[in-house]
Amino acid sequence: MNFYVAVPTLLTATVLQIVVAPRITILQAKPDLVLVVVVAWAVVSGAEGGMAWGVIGGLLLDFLGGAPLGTNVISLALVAFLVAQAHLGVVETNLLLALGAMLAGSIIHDLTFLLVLQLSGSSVPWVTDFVRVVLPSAALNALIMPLVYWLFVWLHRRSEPVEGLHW
Amino acid sequence: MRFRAVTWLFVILVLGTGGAVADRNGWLTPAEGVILRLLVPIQASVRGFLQPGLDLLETAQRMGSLRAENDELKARIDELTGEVVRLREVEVENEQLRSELDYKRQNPGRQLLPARVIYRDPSNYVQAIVIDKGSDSGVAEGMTVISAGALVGKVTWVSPTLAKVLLIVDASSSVNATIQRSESRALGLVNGQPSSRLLMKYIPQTEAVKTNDIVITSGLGAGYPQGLLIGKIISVQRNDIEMFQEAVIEPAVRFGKLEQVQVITDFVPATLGVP
Repeated sequence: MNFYVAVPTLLTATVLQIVVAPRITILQAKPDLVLVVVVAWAVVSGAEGGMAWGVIGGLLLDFLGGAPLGTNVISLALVAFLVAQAHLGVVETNLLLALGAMLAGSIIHDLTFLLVLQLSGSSVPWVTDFVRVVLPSAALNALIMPLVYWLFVWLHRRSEPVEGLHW
Repeated sequence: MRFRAVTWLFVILVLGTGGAVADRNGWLTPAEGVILRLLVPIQASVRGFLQPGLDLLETAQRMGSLRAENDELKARIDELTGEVVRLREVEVENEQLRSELDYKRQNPGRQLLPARVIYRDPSNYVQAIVIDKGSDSGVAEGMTVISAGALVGKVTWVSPTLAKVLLIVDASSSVNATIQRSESRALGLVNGQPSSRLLMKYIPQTEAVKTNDIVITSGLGAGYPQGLLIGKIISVQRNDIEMFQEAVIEPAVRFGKLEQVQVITDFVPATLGVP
């Protein structure tokens, strides 16, 4: 992972998350651009790179937001680790896998986030949140995923030779 | 490779949990202040650059409904013109009554600090805003934030130049409230809901609660000043086998469009257990 790429990319995603994402909503859900970036990078580059991006993105969101510090770090790093497992296995990386990883990763991320919120003393309406936020948010993230995924495949190919990338 | 990744995940989980504990105890407040001070100008510049495009996009999306909305608004203007004339009369009458009751002597004016909303919380699950006033301007943790006399939320974190405000629509927010009607002063607890509405709980079954009843802060628990507007009841959920009834409230504040707020600086909530 190139630190000089990660920081500006995640900073841009965070700022867009604050400025643009609130304008793109379904029910009560808005897309999570930092999550999309972290998942896309984890799919393309693997667990360690993905987790490092998750930690940086998580810290940015934790400092800017009202959730307890560590909530975003934990949920993003965990998702990066889980979705990268497919990349480390026999399955070749492609857009379909990336979309599946995004849908699953989005749901896991949101449920982890809610769990940490609940453990830190907040009241969490699980069923309502799942229907009105978790699922629509996952759909929005999956819609954005191809754009970010192709960008990262291109970026990753330029930075180091890889095998098994099809898009 | 996988073992290393698992090790990293373990380290991150431990550090993340440590971070949450440190945050709870306020050890990271200076670091948060520095990072926010760096990020906020960047965010403001990007917003300024993208705003015209975003406004254009929003207008284009709403083009279909604008014509109908325009006709509706013309009719509404006619209606409101009549209302304004009537309200001017009421205002004169109100002034007379107010001076008679020596309103100011009984309700000394609150000290309000105007503040601008910089951004909303980036998460889907936390309903909070960040405002451009902090401890340098006299803002302190726990202070109440309002907009046009209606309750917005409470300050939960303060840096010298910024403050985070947890909105009353957040699921973790709760406000002691009462119904503003002479024949019913029912008490209850107002909680935030994911639907951006509010739910007033623990209203005794014996109280007659109706739709369109106005809900205000009760001042109980000394968490918020008394008499701040919260919203209007839009439905009542009553079940004979339950001890309490519940009411769904439409908040008086349009949280999605919030740009300016005021911090009440002369009311600091009582803290239980502090000597």
